[in-house]
Amino acid sequence: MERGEIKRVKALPAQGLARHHFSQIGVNGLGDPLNAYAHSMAWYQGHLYVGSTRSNLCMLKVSKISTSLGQWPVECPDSLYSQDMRSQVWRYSPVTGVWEEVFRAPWITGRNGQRLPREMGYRNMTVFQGRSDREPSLYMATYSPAQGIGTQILRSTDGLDFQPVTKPGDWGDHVTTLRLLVPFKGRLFTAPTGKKDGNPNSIGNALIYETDDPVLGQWRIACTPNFGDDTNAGVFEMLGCGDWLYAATANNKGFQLWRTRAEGTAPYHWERVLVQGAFRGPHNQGVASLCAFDGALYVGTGIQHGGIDVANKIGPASPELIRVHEDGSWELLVGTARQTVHGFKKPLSGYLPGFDNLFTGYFWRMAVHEGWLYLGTFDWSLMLQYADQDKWPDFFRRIVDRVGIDRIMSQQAGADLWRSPDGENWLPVTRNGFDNHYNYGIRTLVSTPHGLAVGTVNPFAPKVALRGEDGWSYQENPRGGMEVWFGRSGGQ
Amino acid sequence: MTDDKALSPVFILAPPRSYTSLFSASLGQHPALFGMPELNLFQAVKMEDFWSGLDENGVQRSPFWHVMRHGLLRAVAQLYLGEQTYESVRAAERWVRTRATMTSGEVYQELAQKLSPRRIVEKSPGYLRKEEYLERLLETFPQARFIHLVRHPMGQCLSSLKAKGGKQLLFMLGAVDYRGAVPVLDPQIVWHDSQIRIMNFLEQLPVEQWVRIRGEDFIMGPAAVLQQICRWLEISDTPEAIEAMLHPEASPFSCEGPANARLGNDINFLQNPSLTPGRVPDQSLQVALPWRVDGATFHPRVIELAQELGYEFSVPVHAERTPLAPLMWGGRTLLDGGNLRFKEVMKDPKLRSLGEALLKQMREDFAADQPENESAKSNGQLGSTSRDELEKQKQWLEYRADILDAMLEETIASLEQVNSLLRDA
Repeated sequence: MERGEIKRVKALPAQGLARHHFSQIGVNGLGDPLNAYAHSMAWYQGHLYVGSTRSNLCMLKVSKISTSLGQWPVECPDSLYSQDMRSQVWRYSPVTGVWEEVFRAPWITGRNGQRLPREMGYRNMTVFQGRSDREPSLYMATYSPAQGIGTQILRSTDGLDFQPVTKPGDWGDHVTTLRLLVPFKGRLFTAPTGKKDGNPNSIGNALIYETDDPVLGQWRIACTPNFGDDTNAGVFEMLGCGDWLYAATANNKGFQLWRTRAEGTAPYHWERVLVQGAFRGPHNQGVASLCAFDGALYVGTGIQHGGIDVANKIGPASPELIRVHEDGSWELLVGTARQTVHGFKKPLSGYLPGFDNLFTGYFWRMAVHEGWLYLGTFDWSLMLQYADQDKWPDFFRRIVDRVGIDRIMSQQAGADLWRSPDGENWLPVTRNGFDNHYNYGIRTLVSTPHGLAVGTVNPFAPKVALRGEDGWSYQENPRGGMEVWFGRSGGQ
Repeated sequence: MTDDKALSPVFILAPPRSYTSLFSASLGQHPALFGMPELNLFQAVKMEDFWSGLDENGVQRSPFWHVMRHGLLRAVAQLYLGEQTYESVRAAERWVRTRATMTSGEVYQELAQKLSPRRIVEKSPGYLRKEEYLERLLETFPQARFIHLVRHPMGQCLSSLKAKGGKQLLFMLGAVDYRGAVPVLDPQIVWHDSQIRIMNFLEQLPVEQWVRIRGEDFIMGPAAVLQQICRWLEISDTPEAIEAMLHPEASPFSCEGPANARLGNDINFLQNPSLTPGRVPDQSLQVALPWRVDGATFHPRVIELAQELGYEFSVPVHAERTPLAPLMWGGRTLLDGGNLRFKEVMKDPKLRSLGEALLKQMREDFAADQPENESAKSNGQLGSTSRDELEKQKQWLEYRADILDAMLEETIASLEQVNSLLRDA
């Protein structure tokens, strides 16, 4: 804050949720350790719904994504599909404390003739009422096998049965994954996220679609392809905030943020809010999370594949948090101070990228609960032990050697959950994945009438690589599999 | 500066041990007001100076300056993060550091805006140390209201001597009668010189901007005094508001804070913050002072000033308004704004013996306190922080320090390499 700048700020905060307010309500992948990602979550008809994605590290092992791992962290079968990769939907009642599995992906015959799960993951859930919906329905976006039928949009009206509805007509089966289903002004907006051949996060072009009736279809293109800039490789995040629908692109030169009022006839007029990753460049390759809080848009950045994009030689670099106001002005909240075309920006929170954490890959999810903004991260420090250290830059190896991997594990590993009443002042809820460093990401955060639900990413199951005196071996991991935590003001 | 009356705080001016903590916390419980801990902000021009504790000459203001920051840290933690915990105080430190280039007045205004429409109530006895502190305060809040809280010099002096750490504070402030062969700690100097600083300051202001009340009246009839203050401040004096004010212990600052910001007020108050109305014994200005073995009485200036302030005499008296300290000791005084410095004490044989005796006594006093703290000790508490939490913080900070140290070394090595390349080029 500059001298002389006095701002009117909101009322005094009530106490937020600290670590001791959270209790674990789901563990070990809800009893199935292959449930690795609590990838989607929603509050619907009095229940907390959680959609899983399965065995992600084994998926990664057979994918074409470049990695720099020397030791594979988990034991994987020779064939990915020899294990049950069908994704699951669970729901939880905070009143009874009971979980039940309500849906599991069906088997299909893939294009290669192999029996495959129709989907391996549910990457988004949202509650939306289209023209054909008598009541708000639960919509879900899927992650399909490369040899499958492509991503689907599923719909449930009772929270038990999920059936495919339409998707934009030009999505072939090469569009394998979808993370955006965004209600705004009575319509559902989406954009394809990933495609086959090792591109789960990069579809290659930025195109947004909308419909007011996903059941009947009638999808319309809502923006100019790539927003007129072919460096935009996809729309990775989208959210309505106030009168604007915001869309953030993935771009190796730095994300772009666009917005539209979505009024008139599609495709709409969009205006550009930020370019070049808010002038940080490639280290703000994409936007992992958007959240509307107190009238402003909060933008959490990241680099794909855990903060290190080996193929594009971007990273490692920790993410930033940016706040965009309704008038289009913006502030850097967490990040690197820099000169921009909009003036000098320094982080108002006083925190460097990643909340001063070298190992934060992205600010993955944000949610507002009882007047506080909560932010969950992905932290890759756990992967240090598995990395091919020969590929590390010398300076990085010296730092790690000096501090010691074991010490980094004990102090740093595990995702962070932060909270703030105003976006500028932050408190850690946990800095070590709720005391489990295998929880290396916080992917889902949902505010419910009963408390704040937190879903973790923990693919270190069922057997994890451990180093002993005789070298590496795979052993059962009692702390592996996604977890779900629940924070209530009154504590446990 | 702000002319916004709604943002203008209410400041309580008084030397230490004048019921200021109780009175400030009580008044601050009014629904239209907000009682702060001792913020001490106006003792520095810029926030970086406030944080470092260095004065304009780069000299440390006080060996205890870090403690003077506790009030602000607790206030920021409470106002901006809704709680006073080890972590929220660390966040408050960051809040302060991000405002390093702001003035203390700007930061105070930001706090006032944060609380608006409630108005801040604050007392920081440190503001009396220098005229410029009060001027800074007035420049920031020309519409501020002031309450001059007075206490009979006998009561104030005895309380100062009795309070935990009180004698040492008096010594540091230069409350020493140096005239005899053996220097004597004499709290009447602080009482007198603080009052005249306050009076000289207030009498330049319009009369409606300040009021004087007697602490004894507040203790004996708090409801009536608080009602009078409410009317003067033009805020509600409903029974509910008065009842709220009778509970200073309900303030979030009326207890010890977490380990990294335990104080923010007189420790004696923090350990016993309730208001117990009762009769205050009559005290005389004309008796031998209990703390003087030489049978000395109050200095005539003190008697005159006490009379002017309404003690013992109803006849108007106009005391001479010059500091007492130079008359009793030509050395440093409260009104210099400085503290007695260690080196200064050690090179003066008279002061040295008094200083050493006080230090010994302080050790004994705090040792005698141990039983009181046994329960906290057995629970491993430091303030409101547990020992386990502190151990975890220690390990975390040691780890952070090592990471940063390693990064710094690598950065410097890279810089040297670049510089070398540039030289070669």
